Amino acid sequence: MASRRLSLVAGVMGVSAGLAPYLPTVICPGVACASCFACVGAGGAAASALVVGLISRKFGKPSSGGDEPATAIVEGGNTTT
Amino acid sequence: MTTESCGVKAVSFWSKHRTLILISSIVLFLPPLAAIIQLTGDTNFCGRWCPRMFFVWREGQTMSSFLMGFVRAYMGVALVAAILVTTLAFGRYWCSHLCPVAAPLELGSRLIPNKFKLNFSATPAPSFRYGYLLIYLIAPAIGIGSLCCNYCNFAAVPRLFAAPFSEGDLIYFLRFQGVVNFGLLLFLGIFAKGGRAYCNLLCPVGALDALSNKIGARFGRRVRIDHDACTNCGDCSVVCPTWAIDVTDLTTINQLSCMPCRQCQDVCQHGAIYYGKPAA
Repeated sequence: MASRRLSLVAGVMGVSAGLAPYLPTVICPGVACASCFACVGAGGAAASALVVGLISRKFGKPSSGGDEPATAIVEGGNTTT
Repeated sequence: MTTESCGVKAVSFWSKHRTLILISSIVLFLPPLAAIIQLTGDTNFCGRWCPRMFFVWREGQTMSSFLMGFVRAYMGVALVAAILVTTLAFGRYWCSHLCPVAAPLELGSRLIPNKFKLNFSATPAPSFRYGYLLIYLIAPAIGIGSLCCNYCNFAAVPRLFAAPFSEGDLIYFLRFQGVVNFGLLLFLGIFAKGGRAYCNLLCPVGALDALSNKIGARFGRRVRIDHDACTNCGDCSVVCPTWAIDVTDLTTINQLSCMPCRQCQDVCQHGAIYYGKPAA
């Protein structure tokens, strides 16, 4: 099972994903569109951050990554990688 | 439990024919045929077939208008009710075999070389999914807007299939919302390992279905592990499209993510994974 900290981070990311569509409204001054594309930039940045966070290996599960060193038990009971 | 004789592993009907069932689901539910949807004179999952909107309470809404949402989307209500009830007993067969929205994503991802795919398995999907579902339910209730049609997979996928035949559906993908949805289908679907990241992270129907799956796991049929036979080799974890299997000291299946696609069962060399009721 994922650690509590990792679950919390993922939960916060889920909340952020839910709030992401509101980001353009928040950053927009609310006047007629000046085609500044700030909304697109903010949306793109938020989406990029989410994707990078989601696929980040920093917090990854060691069992499913595939490229982490395997642990083997050698004779004598010592564990090596 | 999986039986083996003479080195040949028995493969269940649902596992053997899953691809065919997924394709059939696309034909039956999605344009241009949409045979089942057409029974009510509809062409997509919006309106009467909407499975995502009726259970969302909006600020200022009266009880009668909330209930009218159930009447308006009566086919969606029936669909979700059927999904949740069958999941209690048999697991998430809707998600794994029947969902016409997930089917193109998973089948499409099989055509993409692995080196181009994004691996989301580092994310604890249930935490993310229910964080998102929280906002999905709270945002309309406090009046800051609705996520029902943003990120809507049940709107985007049928429109994607209808786009070659319908100008209106084609234009949808030229608008900001359509572009966002198309991007999500690509990055969380076709270009995701297993093709199920959208299902696992953003689908509210999948989130409700996963809750039903978890609740029914105490008595219903589920994909389970025979720990006496399991060697913790991790082969099952690698093929799992919903990254539901944790291999640590003890291999476990998270029923908040698992759907009975049975890929883990097929790949297990030790017959340690079976589909059935909990051991007595």
